[in-house]
Formats: sequence, structure tokens, C-alpha cells
Amino acid sequence: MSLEITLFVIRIVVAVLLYAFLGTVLFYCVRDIHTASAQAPEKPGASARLVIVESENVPLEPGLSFDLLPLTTIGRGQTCTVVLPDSFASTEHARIACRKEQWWLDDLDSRNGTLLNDFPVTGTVVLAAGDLIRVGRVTLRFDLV
Amino acid sequence: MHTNSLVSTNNKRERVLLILAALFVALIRIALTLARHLPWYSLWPLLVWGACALLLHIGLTWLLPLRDPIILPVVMLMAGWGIVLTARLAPAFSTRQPIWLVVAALASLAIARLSPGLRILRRYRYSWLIAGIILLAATLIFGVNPSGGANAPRLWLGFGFIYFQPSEILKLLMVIFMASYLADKRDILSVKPLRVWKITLPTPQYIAPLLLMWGFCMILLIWQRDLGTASLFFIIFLGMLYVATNQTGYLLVGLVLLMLSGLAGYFLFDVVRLRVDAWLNPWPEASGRAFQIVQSLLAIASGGLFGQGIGQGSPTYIPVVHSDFVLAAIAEEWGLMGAVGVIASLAILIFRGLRIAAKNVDQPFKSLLAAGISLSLGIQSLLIAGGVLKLIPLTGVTFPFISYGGSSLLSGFVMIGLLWRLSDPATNRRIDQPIFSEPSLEFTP
Repeated sequence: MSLEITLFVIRIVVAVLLYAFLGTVLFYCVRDIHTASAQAPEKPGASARLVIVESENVPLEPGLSFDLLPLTTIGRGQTCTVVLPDSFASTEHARIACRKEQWWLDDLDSRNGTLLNDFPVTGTVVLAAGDLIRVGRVTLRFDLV
Repeated sequence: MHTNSLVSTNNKRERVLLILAALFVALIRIALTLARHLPWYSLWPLLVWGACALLLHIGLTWLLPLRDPIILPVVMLMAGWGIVLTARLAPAFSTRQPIWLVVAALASLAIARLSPGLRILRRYRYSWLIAGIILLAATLIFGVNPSGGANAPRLWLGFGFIYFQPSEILKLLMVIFMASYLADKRDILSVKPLRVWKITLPTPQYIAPLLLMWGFCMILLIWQRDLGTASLFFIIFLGMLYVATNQTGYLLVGLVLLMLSGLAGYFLFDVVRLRVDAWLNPWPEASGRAFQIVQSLLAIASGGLFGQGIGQGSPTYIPVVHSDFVLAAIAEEWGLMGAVGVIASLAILIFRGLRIAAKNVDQPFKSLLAAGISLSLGIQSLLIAGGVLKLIPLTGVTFPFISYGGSSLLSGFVMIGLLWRLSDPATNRRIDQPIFSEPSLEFTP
């Protein structure tokens, strides 16, 4: 077999190999995505919410509800996820975060503190369905949906 | 979890892909030997490549059983292709590249092995970056250029016959610094912005340390006239800031700044003016100052769909084809088919990197580091591939893993070593302190 023919054959084989490699990689990537979507747990995204229970002197209707984001801030400031127009609430008063499929509440050094079921929150605490959170003059109920 | 079955699928996938990559690299090297009538003993780099692949596969199976199995074969395919191309394009360097591959492979294994590694990187970010800056500053005094030339930028440090380019390491340290800084401060950077006429800017006291450190790097790089790396740094900086804060304002401001600095560079630096002129219209000076880009275009055109054949084209007409213009050589000898293959491999690598970032989204340092590494590989390839194809003005950076160059290969493999670590969920659970205080499981009334 002459050199030129050998080289030509090698070129064809090389091209096939290169694309076989890329094809296999693509196949694995697609398989990964399929297994990942099959195993993915229920998104905790909108699976919890806060419902206003009591709001003395604050223009918020009891029964109004806020869907929780994975990182939700509560406070008077307009940048908060849950805005409470209450002069007793700090600008950024408290935060609820979803980690490891649990919801955690912490107080962001607010002036008047955050109460969880009438106890002041220190550090980060885990929330259970039906917990009552009090920020300023507003009481919110934590509900799992 | 089905950890055991996952580990065995992982290893099997890596083996299958590595075997395909090995066949590809071996065949192109044999074809080169036949086409150029090289002696058979010149095939020894193949053995080195095989040894590296085997070492990394076995080492990683032992150290990080749950790592991403696709990264190693893709990187080894590109590195093997790079070794073949070095032998083809710059035979004088053909001994060095395999040796650098061994060094790089060992370095990536070391990164995968070191137990406190990533936490140390995170905690002492200022020290690391300053060390990198000092190393780069050393090139201002002791710098050399291995290929000689009186006016060539002296970007290398020489130790005997080994040359090293500190900007490659600085790039890596910069990515680590930014990931670490932004992981700690991104809440502040994205939550409490300063609004100046519809554009949100961060509060100065938090962005200042970042700008200061980045400014040091940029000043040094511009002082060295290493403008390719400087533009690379700038775009990586913008990209990471955007990924961390999700503020489009940064991107807009950054792009305007990039345009302005490009304009200033055009009037201040001859290099920039030359590159931009050659990009706008290279043909009037095709045999003069725009020789390189014109030769590159001719090489790509003559490659066509399937290329001239391995070792059968004439890519060596392009100056420094073995480092910056390696994509033009691939396009000439392997054709569009080869060029698309290279770009697809890189795209897969970046996709896997970003996937690691997405999987670690609850751990900001890991996530940002993976995203930063993928971004820097992607942007670097984009800059040089675009430059070679005359889509954008040429910036002299290397094509990751394929270009000849020890420092580039080494820093590439270190990045990959970090990606391996970040991709293994079983290690380093605690590198990342959470954004807020660690939740305690007890209920504290």
C-alpha cells in the first residue's frame, strides 16, 4: 500500500475517532441530564409562604400571603422580598433561607428583634409549619404549601 | 445513595473516552511520522502521554472517585493534540512539551490530593494575589524572552533552560481572589447598590479592594505591554462580577470602559494600532505588518472542509504558529472538521465547568471558582480563536491546552485539578462557610 493511501486511510479513521469521541461525550452528557432530572427532588422554591395573621396599625390585610424565595428578606426597606410598611420594623429585619430542604430564620440585628412563637430569635433557627413570626407589629404565619 | 454504582459508571466512562482519545492521538502522531518521514523513535512522546493519562486516571480514581469523568479525557485529547502539533510546527520544542505535560499532570494530581488546599486559597486571598503580583513585577526587572528579539516583550522568568510566564499563574490567582472576595461580599454588592442615573453601582467601600487588586494587575500587564493578557483579565473580571451579582449594569459600564481603553490604546500603543489596522483591512500590508494574520487566513482557506492532511500542509509560514496561531494550523491540516472538533472539545469542557458551578450554587466560593475557571478558559479561547479568524483584533494569548507553552499548560492543568476537586461532592464539604452563620440544629428559644 503506498504511503499516500495509508495516510488517506489514517485521516478517515482519525476523523471518525474524533467525532466518535465527541459523540460519546455528548451521549454521556445527555444521559447525565436525564438521570439528574429523574432524581431531582421537588423544588423547594415556592413550597412555603408567609401569611399575615395580625397587623395592628399597619396597612396590611390579614390573610395576605407572600411566597418564599430560597433567600427571603423581611423588613421595611423597599429592597426586601417581603416589605412591611411598619415603623417598628428595621430596614432589613429578618431573613428566611432554604438550606438542605429546611427553612431557617435569622434575625438581622434588628432594633426591636424578631419573635418566633413569642420567643426572641437568637442565631439561626429552623422553622416548622404553623410557626408564628413577629416582626415589629406584624405577625406572620409560616405555612408549608 | 448509589455511590458505588456511580463510581463504577464514572470510571467506566472515563476509561472508554480515554481509550478513544488515546487512539486518536496515537494515530495522528503516526500519520505525522509517516508524512514527514520522521524516525520511529520520535514516537516516544506518545508513551509519555499514555503514562500521564494512566497516572491521572488511576490517581483520580483513588483520590476523587466522584469527580466529573468527562474532563480528563477531553483535556488529555487536547494536550495530546498539542504535543503532536508542537512536533509538527516547532520541532525544536518537541522535547519540552511532553516534559511540561508530565509536570502539569503531577501538579493537577497534587491539587487533587492536598487536603486543606482550597480553604487555604480562600482564607489567604490577599497574600496569594500579592505573591502573584510580585512574581509578575519580577519580570519587569529579570524578565527575558526565550525567542530573543530586542524589542520583544519580556514576559518570562528564566531558570537555566526553563522559562516560565508568571502572568499565567497570576490569572489563576486572580480568579481565586475574585471568587473568594465575591463569595463573601456578593450579598452586599448586589443588595445595597448605589444608584447613579438609572445605573446601579456598588457601594465604594466594598468594591474598592477588588478594584485596587485588579488595578495592580492591569497596571503591571500594561507596563509589560502584555495587552492580550490585560484584556483577558479585564473580561474575566467583568464576567465574574456579573456572575456573582447578577447586575447587568456592571457589564454595560465595563463594556463602555473596554471600548474607551481600546480607543486610548489605539492612540497610545503602536501594538494596538497595528492590531486594529490589520483587523480592519490586512491586505494593503499583506507582506508587511499584517503578514501573520494574512498567512493565517490563507492557511485556514487552504484547509477547506477536510484539510490538507496531517503533516501535508504548510502552516509554518505563519509566524509563531505553534503558540498563538495553533488553530490556523489545525484548520489547515485537519480542515473545518478538525477546527470544529477542537472548539467542540473546549465547549464541552466549559459546559462541564459551568455545570459544576450550577451544582454548587448553595456554596458561593465553590460555585464562583468553578464559574471563574470556566469563564477564563472560555474567554481565552474566544479571544485567540476570534483573533486567528480575524473576527476580532488579534490579542496574543495562547489557545488552552493545545498551544505550545509550558506555563500555559501548567496553569491549565492546575485549573482542571481545581475543577476535579470542586466536582467531587464527597470532598471539601466544609470549604465554604455559609453566607450567614452556620444553622444549629437545636431549637434555641
